[in-house]
Amino acid sequence: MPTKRHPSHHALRTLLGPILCLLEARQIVYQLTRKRIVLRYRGSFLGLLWTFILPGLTLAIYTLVFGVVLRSRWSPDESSTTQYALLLYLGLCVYWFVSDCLGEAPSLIRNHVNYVKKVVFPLEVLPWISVLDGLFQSAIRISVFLIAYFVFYGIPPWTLVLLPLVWLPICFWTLGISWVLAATGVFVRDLREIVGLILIGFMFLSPIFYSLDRVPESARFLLQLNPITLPVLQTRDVLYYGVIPDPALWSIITFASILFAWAGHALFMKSRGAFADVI
Amino acid sequence: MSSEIAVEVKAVSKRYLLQTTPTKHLKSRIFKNQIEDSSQHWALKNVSLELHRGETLGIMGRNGCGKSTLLEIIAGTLTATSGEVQINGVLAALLELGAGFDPELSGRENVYIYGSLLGMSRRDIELRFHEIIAFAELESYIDEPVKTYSSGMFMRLAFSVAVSSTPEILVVDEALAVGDEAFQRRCFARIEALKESGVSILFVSHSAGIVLELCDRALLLDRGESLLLGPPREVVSQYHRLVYAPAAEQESIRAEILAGSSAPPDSEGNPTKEPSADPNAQKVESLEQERLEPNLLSKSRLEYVSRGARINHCAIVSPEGAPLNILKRGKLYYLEVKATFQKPAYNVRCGMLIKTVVGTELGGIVSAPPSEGIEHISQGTSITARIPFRPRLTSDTYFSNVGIVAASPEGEVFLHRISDALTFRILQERNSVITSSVDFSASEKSTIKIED
Repeated sequence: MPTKRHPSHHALRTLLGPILCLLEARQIVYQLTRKRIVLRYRGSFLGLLWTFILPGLTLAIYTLVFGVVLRSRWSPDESSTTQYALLLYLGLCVYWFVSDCLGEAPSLIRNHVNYVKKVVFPLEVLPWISVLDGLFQSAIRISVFLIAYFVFYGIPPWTLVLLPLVWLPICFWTLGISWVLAATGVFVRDLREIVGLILIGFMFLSPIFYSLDRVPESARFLLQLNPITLPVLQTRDVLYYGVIPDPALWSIITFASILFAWAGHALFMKSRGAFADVI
Repeated sequence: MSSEIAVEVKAVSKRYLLQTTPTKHLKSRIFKNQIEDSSQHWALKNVSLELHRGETLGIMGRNGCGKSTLLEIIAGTLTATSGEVQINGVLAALLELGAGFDPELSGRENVYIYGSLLGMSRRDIELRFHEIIAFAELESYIDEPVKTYSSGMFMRLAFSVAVSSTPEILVVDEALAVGDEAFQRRCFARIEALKESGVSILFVSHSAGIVLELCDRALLLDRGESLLLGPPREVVSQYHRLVYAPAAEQESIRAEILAGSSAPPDSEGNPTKEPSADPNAQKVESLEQERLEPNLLSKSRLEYVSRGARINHCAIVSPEGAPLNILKRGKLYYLEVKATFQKPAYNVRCGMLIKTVVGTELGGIVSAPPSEGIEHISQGTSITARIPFRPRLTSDTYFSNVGIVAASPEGEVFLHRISDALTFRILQERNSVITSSVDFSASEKSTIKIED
């Protein structure tokens, strides 16, 4: 990418960094996101169908294990396996998005050595590319959900139009963590394994497989600390229950997430100068 | 354009830490530890340069001298340990051709991705797409995955995309040596065109020919230090001197170059290809006779390190023995070489190599065919060689290397050589039909028949 480097950096630039980097390199981001999506399925026999088959099959397995074998239910008086499966699926949609992005983040820079050393490349857009790719995949997964909902229950609740707003904070904090992990991962190679472990914790210590009320009061705080708990609950609210999430809570979370993204970006920009020396 | 200086490098140094792990590196950055001398390597030491707008500057040096490091710092992929780089304008860097290519994708898709890496918009790429694939000669393969391409095809495509972006400053690392000769010629033509349109170009090359042909100025780097920044001819010859010197002599040669480069800063900021020959040359040509012009001296004369023989004297003389440097085209002259041998030598031959002002080698002549030199010359002997030649050249100034070669266990080596040992001028002629440098004329007359 051509660079226009000037010695002075405006304060405004730093403040808007996370967004500006996307806007300035939108052409690159578009091309590379497209490339990722295209390459994922090119040459495979079923192609794009995999995006539907994979979540479908995973859901079938989880439903079989938890819904049928272990007879998990959201509430004791409820006996529908369909409901369990659909709610589980929404939880997994959130989890898959976060774990795809964060799982990749520690090795993001090392997987693109050429972009560090041999091309003048705005490395800070790499997390954006994995987030945008993740959103594309999530959109397909959610549409699988909507089809299933339509088949079993009819028209989905109108609140589904709020989904982009509900996902806004996760996008930002995922970006923020990705920036931190990507920068740290360059120096600390074991980060990948650590992140893998934490992500498993995220999955089981969240209301993905069970409802929050069934967790003993004493352990509930653990789940509430989990950053994916709230998005999982809110996604179910707007897509399944037709409930509008609390606007005050949403505003606070969104603001905090943006702040977090900004801090992650700032840390990344501060350390990126050293990447080429250690890679 | 706000400034006349496109790239300004101020006292840039770059330190690499040796035997370090990424974690240690992080620690030393955070705690700003003192680093022991043994665990660091200075790849660049206090290098400064200015690239003027529209200028082409070549960077030469041996392997590991810091050329690529400097280029990467300018391009922005590496960060300098100290010093400052200022870029005024849109910069595109070709540090490695095709580094942004994905082998799984088709040529077409890669053009779009690589183009966007080089800062082209989608529209720009669409507009130039046909030009790009035509230049790369890949029309019929453009939708095949790049992994099926030959390395030549791959490089051609990468170069083609790169030169179709329109930067104000182009940084190129060794990228010109791609493809077959026909393609290389077109690359040069393209770079010349970029130069014409005012693009400032900075490139690294091992090839003296490329540097002489394309550059306005050149920089000689050695072990991270800037030894010489000046006219390409001078830099190329010092570079050769350094490269071919035996290890023991290198220190003194380095010191010599450094000392020499600080003296005349006249080339600074003056991007011209100035032949280092006689300024009074114009007067000479009106005197229609061969003669010795005392002012016409080679200022770029450069003696290489002796390996057993020394050329004490060399000159161009008439058949009668009179020294000359203003010559007539096609007449018989002799190259006279006097030399002494400090060591015994076998299969000895002398010769000259005539070059144009910009260093293009035109042709050489030697005293004998490869294995028919003088069989043996014993230690302490002096010789005088006279080699006949006819300069079939147009009116211009030329330079000549003079050297003595002999057999050695590693094959034929130069016992002594002097680059630009001689300079001479060919007299102007009226009604001449020859152009450029070499005289291909025949005594027969041309005919042109007009057909109706």
